[in-house]
Amino acid sequence: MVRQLTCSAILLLIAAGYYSVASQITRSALADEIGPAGLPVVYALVLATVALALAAKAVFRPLLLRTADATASAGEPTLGFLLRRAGGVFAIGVGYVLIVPLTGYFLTLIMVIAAMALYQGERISARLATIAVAGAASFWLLFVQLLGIPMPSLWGA
Amino acid sequence: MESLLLGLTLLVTTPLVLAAVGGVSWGVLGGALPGISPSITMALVLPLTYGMEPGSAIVLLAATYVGAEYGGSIPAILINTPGTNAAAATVLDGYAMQRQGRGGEALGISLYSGVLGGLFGLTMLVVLTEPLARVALAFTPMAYFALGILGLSIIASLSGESLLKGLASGVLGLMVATVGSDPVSGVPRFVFGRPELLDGIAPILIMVGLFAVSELYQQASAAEWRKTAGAETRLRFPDGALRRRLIKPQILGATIGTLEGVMPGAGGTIASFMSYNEARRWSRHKEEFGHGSPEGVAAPETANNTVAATALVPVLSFGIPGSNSAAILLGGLLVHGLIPGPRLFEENADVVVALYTGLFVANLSLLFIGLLILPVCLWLVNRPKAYLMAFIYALIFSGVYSIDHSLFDVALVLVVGVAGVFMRLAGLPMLPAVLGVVLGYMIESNYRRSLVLSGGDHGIFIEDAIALGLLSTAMLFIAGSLTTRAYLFVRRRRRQSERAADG
Repeated sequence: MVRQLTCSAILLLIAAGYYSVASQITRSALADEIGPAGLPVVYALVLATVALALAAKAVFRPLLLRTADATASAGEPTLGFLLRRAGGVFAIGVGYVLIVPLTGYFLTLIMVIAAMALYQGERISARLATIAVAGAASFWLLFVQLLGIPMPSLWGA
Repeated sequence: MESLLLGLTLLVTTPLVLAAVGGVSWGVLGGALPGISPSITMALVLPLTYGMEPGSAIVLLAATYVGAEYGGSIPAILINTPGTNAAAATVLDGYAMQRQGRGGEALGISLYSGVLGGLFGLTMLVVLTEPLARVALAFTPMAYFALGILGLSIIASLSGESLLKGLASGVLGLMVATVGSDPVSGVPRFVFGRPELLDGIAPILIMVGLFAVSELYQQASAAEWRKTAGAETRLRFPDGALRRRLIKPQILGATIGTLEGVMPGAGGTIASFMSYNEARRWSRHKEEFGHGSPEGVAAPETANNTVAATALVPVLSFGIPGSNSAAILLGGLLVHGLIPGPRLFEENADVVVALYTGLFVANLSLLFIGLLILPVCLWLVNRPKAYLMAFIYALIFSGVYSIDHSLFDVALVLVVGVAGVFMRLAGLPMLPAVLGVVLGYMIESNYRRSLVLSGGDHGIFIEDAIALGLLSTAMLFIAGSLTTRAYLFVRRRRRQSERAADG
């Protein structure tokens, strides 16, 4: 029930924030009858209504049906562990976005492949280094050479 | 008969076969890379066509389109990442089959259904171009709005256990679709001063974030994947019994794909979602959908490959490009001095016959190219989890950056991935959100255009016959889904009571 109520609260917050921004959208002289804020306001109100309905369902359904909250089955990671591990992958991604303008596509990709493999339990070894370099080289050949995508280069050069 | 002979002559006297096979191979590669859309893949070969004779040039572009539309399903099945928008519906059951060690079977079904869909679409293109073109012209803004609502109506059956959660997810998708310039007045909305958001958020970014990135985040805490046995990593085509079971979803996919393909702007995404939904509605194995149903792969794959052929109807008949890919094909026609329209079929019949022949060869070669590359793809995804995750992450960064050469997009996808994790934890289904993102702009822009035309009178949606038909169908879909849900709920309660009474 706590998880469902948290979900409803987050949805309600999103609806409120979205409504607040939608209501500040400037109306152009070219606007039609509905206007640029028309549907966004409706969406916010619908989401808020659904969030409240979900909250009501979370509170009243266990009372009506006398069902217990589903518990995590054995072997499933706990929420804290899942979020910590996911946070690590997210951090590697953020690292890529921050570093790639400086070190360029090829080098950063080597680092990302190596970092992800290490994070998932691989050990530092010649094999890891070879796979990271070969992988980055394959992506560079495919995206830069074959498809002609202008990937970030070393020091932005 | 004359056209058939001309087609055969063109096959042996021009580089048509080379253009068809080369186009399909290139298209499959481009479509399989997330972020490299069919239109980008086609744009990359467009300069090559300048020096070619017109027939082969158009075949090269059209075959690339066919290959790219198919290619999107490969990463959708193997790594939970739709390579194209239209492959999003394939993710659900395709990836579930892959996780059950049935990736080879899923790829076999997608290839088999894709080739059938492509050949069916080509037949429709050849036989029904004229009547289908009339359907395309009859579509008004009111009809497009109604089509969008019809697309959204399937949220009722894609919502899983909770309709409210499906609804919340769909509205979240619609909200994302409002980011960018207002479709009528051009006023920026929800851009927070970021010029990157003025054109809106590309649906593929949301799909890659929700499906692929959130899966990587979640897999980081999961145990090592089980070792897949050798037989499970082989490409497997459906056997006789399965082929018979797939006939119904394939017919549904082909029919919906034909109709959606001829409507400019509707595209393969709506077709694949709708055919997935209809396949489930008419299936005897509804409970398998979402958990690795072969029908759940066959229906959308047939539909989006049918669309790849029938989408050429409005381009050839009127010069109306319904998508970026169709616009590039139109560009290819114009470069060679070919003006689309009824006279194209009279004055440049050889080019039209070359196109039809080339598409036939392209669809057949799709089968052989699939046989060559899919085993390699299967081998790749059965590498150790640590390396596979690292390579998927690198592929996502590379593919997403390729869309607009923007690191902002990469950062956005990472954030959408975080949202995806929370959606999974909260039990919010992702497909309704994807539908909302894909259909949101179409619904809003056509709704408001319709009201501009009618001076604010909503009666215009009932006065337009096509819109009325589509809206009525949407209502029927919703009513049908709600009735089924109510019936299943009552049955479940009754069984619980019986079990409790039995002690």
